[in-house]
Amino acid sequence: MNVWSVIRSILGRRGVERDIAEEVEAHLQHRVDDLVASGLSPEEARGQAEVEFGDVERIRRECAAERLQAERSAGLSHALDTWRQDVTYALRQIRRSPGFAAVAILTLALGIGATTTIAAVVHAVVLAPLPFAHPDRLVYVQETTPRGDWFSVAEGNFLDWRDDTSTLADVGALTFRGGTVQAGSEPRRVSVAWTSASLSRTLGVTPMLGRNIQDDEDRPGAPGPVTVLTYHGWQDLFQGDPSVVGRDVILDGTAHTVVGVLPDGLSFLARADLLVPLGASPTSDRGEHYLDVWARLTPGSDIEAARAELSALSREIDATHPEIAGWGVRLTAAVDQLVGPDLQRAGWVLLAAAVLLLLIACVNVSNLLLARSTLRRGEVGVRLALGAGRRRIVRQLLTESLILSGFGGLAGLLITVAALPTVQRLGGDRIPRLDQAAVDPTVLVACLAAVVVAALLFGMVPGLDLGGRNVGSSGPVDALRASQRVDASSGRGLRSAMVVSQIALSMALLLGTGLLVHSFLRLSSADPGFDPEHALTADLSMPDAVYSPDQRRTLVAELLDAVGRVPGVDAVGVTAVKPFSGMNLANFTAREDRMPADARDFLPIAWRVVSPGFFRAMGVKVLEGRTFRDDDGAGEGAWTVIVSKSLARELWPDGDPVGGTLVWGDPQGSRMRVVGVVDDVQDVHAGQEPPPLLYVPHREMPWAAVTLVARVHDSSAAVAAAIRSAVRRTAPGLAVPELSSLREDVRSAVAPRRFNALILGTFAGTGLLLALVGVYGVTAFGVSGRVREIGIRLALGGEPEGILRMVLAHSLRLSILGTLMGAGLAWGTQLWLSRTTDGFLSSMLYHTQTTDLATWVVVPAVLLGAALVAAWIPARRATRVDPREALADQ
Amino acid sequence: MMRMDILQGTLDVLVLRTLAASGSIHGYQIARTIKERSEDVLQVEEGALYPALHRLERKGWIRSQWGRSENRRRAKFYQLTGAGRRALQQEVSAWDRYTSAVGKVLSDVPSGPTGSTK
Repeated sequence: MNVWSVIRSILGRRGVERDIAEEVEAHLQHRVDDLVASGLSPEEARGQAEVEFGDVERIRRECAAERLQAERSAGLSHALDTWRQDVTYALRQIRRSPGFAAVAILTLALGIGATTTIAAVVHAVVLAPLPFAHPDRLVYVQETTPRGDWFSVAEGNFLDWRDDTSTLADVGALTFRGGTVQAGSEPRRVSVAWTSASLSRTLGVTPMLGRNIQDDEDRPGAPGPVTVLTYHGWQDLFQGDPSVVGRDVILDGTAHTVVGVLPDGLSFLARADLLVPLGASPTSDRGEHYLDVWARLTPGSDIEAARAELSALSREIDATHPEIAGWGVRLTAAVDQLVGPDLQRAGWVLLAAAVLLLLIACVNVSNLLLARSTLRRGEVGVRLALGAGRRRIVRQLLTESLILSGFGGLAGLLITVAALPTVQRLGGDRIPRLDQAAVDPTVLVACLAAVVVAALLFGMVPGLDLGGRNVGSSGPVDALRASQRVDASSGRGLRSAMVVSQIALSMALLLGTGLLVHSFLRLSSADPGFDPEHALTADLSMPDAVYSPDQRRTLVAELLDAVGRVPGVDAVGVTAVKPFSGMNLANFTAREDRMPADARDFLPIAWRVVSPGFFRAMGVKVLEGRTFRDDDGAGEGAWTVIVSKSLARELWPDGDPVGGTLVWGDPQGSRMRVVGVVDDVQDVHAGQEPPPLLYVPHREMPWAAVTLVARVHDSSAAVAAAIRSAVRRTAPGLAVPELSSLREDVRSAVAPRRFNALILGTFAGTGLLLALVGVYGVTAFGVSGRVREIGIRLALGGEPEGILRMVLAHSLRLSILGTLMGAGLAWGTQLWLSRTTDGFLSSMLYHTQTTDLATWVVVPAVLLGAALVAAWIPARRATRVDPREALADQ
Repeated sequence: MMRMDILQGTLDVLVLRTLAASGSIHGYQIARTIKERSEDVLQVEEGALYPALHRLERKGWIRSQWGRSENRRRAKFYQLTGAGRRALQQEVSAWDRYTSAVGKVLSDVPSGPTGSTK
């Protein structure tokens, strides 16, 4: 029951009470009549009648209560009745004009489908809780250098924190490494998470089979190696065998007993195939930072308290470990670490764009309804004449809007279901949790919200137009008369306003998209410092347990030789850091001749371990000196190293680095002789400035996990297969994965930005199309209403060109106004964003200002040009009006 | 004279029964008729009739309209509906079952069978 019927029943109560009072009085009068007839005086009779009747007041109240209850149930069934009538009527209206309904529903489906799809993505990627117990109490811990750079954590520091903290309930650590599993006869490359036993407690992870790794298994040299499979590893290595617990996995030549299996979808843990004990040692080198550390806050503490405590612990560590003096800690809430501001921002931008599209769709449908409402004036007039209230009419129209919108929502859901797999493929695996986007209850609620909001928005204007003063203001008779003709002049102002708003919304959407697309194009064409075309990569792992450093040196030399002989291969090399794999190596360096006394004044750098052929295989230009030779890194004394252009510029701003000497890590570190300078390379974060890079020969540091890079004539499958078999022949124990192309690796690095650009582009394109349909429709409707006027003009000798100009000028005025308003809207938004947020826009845009001239010129030009074309079609029709027909018609 | 408070349900049945016999009559007439029929054994607080009338009307068992009484006064006349007639039949048969059950219990008293009290 709505508010109105409550109010009505309160007002109606007085009538009911009068009715009851009258009835009671009639009873008393009749009794008085009888008693007087039997001889009593009127006064006595009245007295006796009242005594016999009983408590008049109470009885009145009881009667009134009965009546009120009666009205309530009647009111409810009446409301249901009205609603059923409205729905039936609305369905009949939709059936009567299937063309209109189809266009409206399709338009709404586009808007609602876009909104629902993005809602599903944002819900899964940004909003869904992390798959850990009480994720709000989970923090990610890093170390910070004295200069403020972030580093992973050293084993010793992790152990000190774990054992000495009181603000953290538990601290867990892990690091990912490649490994080789012997599965049948074929060696297989797997991703291994080396985890502390405390990690599963910290995260609150419960295995679906078996148990977690235990503390006594997580010590250096613990007996009987064990492993816990991730869901993915369980499926891949054991085909989901439920009796896997207790069986062995041969990992890097050693049998590990499977003690448990983790459930699916555990965020970063799912990147691994299996978990093995980390066995962190307090005596390990504190300069080796490679652990990801997660911690759970105790119920009484917060992230600030934990930060203060860990910082204090770091000062204590300074005393015992001067080599890392001045290092600090950085704590990040788990959600910020795992979802991150970039994804959150991108999510909101996409959602805003989807809502803009929905608004444009609403304006379009509103426009359609408004055109129809002109035709429906007669119908509404008839209903008014038959006694329908205006409120009832408005309600009827809103019901129709809701039903249209509901159908649009259903179709939109279908679009979402159909589009989600494509959207997920677009994002690839670079957008975490995107694969979990699905039409779930939350998304259904979002869809329902979109349906209702859309219905209110697009139903409002026609509802006001029809239900308001415009119809039958001087009585239903006028409205009935109006039904005899189409009066296109009525509602013209409204329709013009809507075209303007539609163009404005499209303009804003197009401008935002233009900036993002332009930024993406710049990013895609940005020079990474190497040539990603015609290059293949393959990850190889030569674990410590199987290969000694010398064996690795020999094996790599043999592999490079064998692959280099494969026909079609121009150059081949290895590197310890696969481009855009997310991995990085960092350290510090200084010039020996200008060495600071304190390690904390050393320059932070990224470094790479590579073989001589790497630079040619990657296509990195050598600027000065030479690249590595096969004998580099074999001898005693100073290392042989190569520096990147930016490192050379940083340390030798006005000199020649070739022949200079660098120091590794701290004043006591190894001495390194620079033999060459190569071009800058960006291989970690697409779109960022290349870091100063130092290259060390693989022979100097025979890294276990390397990526083979081969430059080939053509990237055909035949060459890839030949490379694989060459590797397999040379090193039968090595797991050889499928080769991937370097181009693909680079592409996947910019996948999130491509995802944003593509989806925004789709939205903007759809929005533009809808806006053009709007311009076309309104112009066409305007022309059809002015046929008579145009006929007269032509009859009086008006030139068709003049008519064309007149119609186009009107439409163009609206478009220009809309464009200006849209530009204002976009400008205001970017001003607001740059004032209220820190780096929101610059984080979304690569080397592109919000004032990007190309975007601000191209977008309005395209929009106005397209709008002109959309108006031109109906305008031309206007010039073909036959004056005689036009005049006779009316 | 024995006086009894009558149960609400009983009053409803009496009203229905009265209307079934009399066609369209107003509240005061209903009250008089019930009094006469029950030979004053059931002394109704006359006013109690009216909540019962409104309740029965809500249930759709009776309907009402304003009219003129025999002594030219305005009065609300009540009439049994089809649903009311069916309800009355059910009530009467339920009442019969109840009284015959009570009668059987009473007839088991050692003074010997005395037959139904119906």
